[in-house]
Amino acid sequence: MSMGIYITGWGAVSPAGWSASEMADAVFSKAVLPLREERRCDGAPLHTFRTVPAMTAQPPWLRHTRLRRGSPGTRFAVSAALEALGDRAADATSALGVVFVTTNGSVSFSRRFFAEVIANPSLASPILFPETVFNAPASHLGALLGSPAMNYTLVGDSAQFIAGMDLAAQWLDDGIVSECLVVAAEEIDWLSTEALALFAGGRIAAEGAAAVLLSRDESPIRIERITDSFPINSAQSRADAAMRMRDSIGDASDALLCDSRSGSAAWDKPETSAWRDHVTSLVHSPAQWLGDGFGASAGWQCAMSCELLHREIADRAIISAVGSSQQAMGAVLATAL
Amino acid sequence: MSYHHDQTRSGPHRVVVTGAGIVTAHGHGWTVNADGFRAGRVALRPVTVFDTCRQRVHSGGEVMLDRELPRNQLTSRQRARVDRATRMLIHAGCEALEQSGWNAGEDEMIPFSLGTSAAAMSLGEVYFKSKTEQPSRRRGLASSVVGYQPQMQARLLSDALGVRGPVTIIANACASGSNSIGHAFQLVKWGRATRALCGGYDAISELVFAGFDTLQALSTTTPRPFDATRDGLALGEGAALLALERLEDAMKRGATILGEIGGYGASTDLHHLTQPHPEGDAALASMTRACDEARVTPDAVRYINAHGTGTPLNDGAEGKAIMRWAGTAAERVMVTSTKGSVGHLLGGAGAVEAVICLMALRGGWVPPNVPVITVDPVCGFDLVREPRDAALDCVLTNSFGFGGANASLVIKRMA
Repeated sequence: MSMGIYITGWGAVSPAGWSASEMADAVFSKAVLPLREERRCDGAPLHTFRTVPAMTAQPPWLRHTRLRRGSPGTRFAVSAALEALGDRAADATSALGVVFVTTNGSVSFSRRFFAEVIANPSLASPILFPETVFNAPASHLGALLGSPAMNYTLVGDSAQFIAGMDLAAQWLDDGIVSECLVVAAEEIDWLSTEALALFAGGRIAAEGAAAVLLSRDESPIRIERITDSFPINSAQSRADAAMRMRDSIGDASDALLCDSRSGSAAWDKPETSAWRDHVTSLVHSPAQWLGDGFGASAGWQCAMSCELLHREIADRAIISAVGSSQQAMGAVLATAL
Repeated sequence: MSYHHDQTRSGPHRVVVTGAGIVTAHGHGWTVNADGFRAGRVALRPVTVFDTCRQRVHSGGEVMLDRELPRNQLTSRQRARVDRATRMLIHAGCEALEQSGWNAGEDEMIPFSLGTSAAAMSLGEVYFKSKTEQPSRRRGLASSVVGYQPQMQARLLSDALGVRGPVTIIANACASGSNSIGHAFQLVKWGRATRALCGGYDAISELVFAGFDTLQALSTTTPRPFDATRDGLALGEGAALLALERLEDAMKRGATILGEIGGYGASTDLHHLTQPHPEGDAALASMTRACDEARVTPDAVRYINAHGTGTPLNDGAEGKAIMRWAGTAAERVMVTSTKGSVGHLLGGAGAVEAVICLMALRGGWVPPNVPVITVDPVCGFDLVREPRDAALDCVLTNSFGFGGANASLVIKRMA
């Protein structure tokens, strides 16, 4: 029998603030967080989004050589990861794995760099370009923590964080790592917010990060299971994938459901249908209050679930993540008694 | 099979390659590529996919995409959405699937593990230019946005092949292709899947080309890995896919086995975002881990397909790592980089080079390292510079990327 895998720490950065507890408080209280509206130039569409509030004080890790030039997403990722690590950050082992998950990557730097290339390639910044690479945040995180172990960056839709947790569990099972951080981060840029607005549903873009630390060390929160990834393709619609994911979870009675619905009825329809029997009072939908965090969304759901289990609001939490174009995936967390 | 707290994993299973597909600047398919790499032909040519007149460098390993897509299951609407990178991916996928003898359309879910560093960057560029030149325009942009996402490229591949399964996209820069094979290898080895499709791809794009140029990483002369006077790399493009399955299953159905994935090692170089540790510490770790898993010692590895980009720092560090890893066996191990022939395929490099290793194992030859004028003194190993026949049983391939992503694979010949 496989030994259990536990979540020994979690963290989040979101429009609600720089911690998982601030995020959970906002979602739990259904707080209406401030919206920003901008029109980047004449003729451009008005885009609406939620950003992470400015830091109130500069943390010491921002002085690390690697992080001086890091993108906003890198900073969010590091903050969430360090919160998840807690006291362990100071003595992270050389077998600490990192799975970093993103949809848009360092989009603000990519946009700036490409604008420079179009203007005059000979003057484009060699400092910006390396930071545009998808795995730059994961690399910086590995360097900050001093871990030369497995370090993957996964690109995918908003359900990919759950697949990242599954990969981390696999590495732990195979003995490749002793602990593993799963981190997701996204940053706001007009390039992605205007892209989101091209699609119906009125979803609001948001930025931030989430992290969980997976370990064999017994801890109050245990991963009961992670579902298969139910792909979305021409043979299986988003609604079918959502339904199969829900069916694979089985009995969900009395469990708290942390789902990926954003408040847009049309967009949410497959997931609403999949969970139509679930008791409404036990449902939390972080994206409805924080905004659409792209690759960070399912990470917020996980961190939110951990917070609620930790606060003893439930002893079992289901995470339901129905992505836009890749997969539906779920996970069940439980308090380890 | 995903995580469940009381599940048991099975294995280890031996993992073999029963299908391989490849597209590079040499052309489409196993035969033309095997001929090109064996002879050490250089397939670099002027880049035409975008205007390079304002760049310092104007050539690369551009693929001549002059063929129709092979027979596939895409609808006409889907075919209209296929971008350059996906086109190469589908060519490679169809070849790998056909060679494997797998029946498309079966109910079994076959995982896809794909590596890329730029995905459909050219669609992102189109979107950006459209948004900045015509800020109010909406028409046609949604398809660029959808197509830009790498999971959509994977989905088109899946639909084209009629093979369904979960998709993992690993974006570990230039190690992505090797990581994706390593990931699929681990899935099959430990019984989480009975087979998997894996590989890597990337197409030349303006942003990435300009990016390497700003770093002055592109050669303004001729890319010549492991040459003492090397001055950089050439960018290339292409795709390679491998069909992996358990040895027992391949034997049971009488499949042709192209080779066995013996071991996989990965490590992270913490030295710098774009520069390797000068002594090659992380490269040494990934090679050692791959060999440990394959249970082979350096004297059993006859050939190394090096990452060998042709940049001064990379080849020096990798050369030192190979010397440290090989020890007394160093002068007997044959080493080449094939990037002088087709350029650096970034996210596709590791997968293409794994297929080159399969070709070398099957054909009994070593692809020459071209062109080298003066061998770098770091090369205390046998840097093969002319086409050479050699019976190979066990080879190793290295892929090292930005961010310190390092990966090595050990591939063996099946007797």
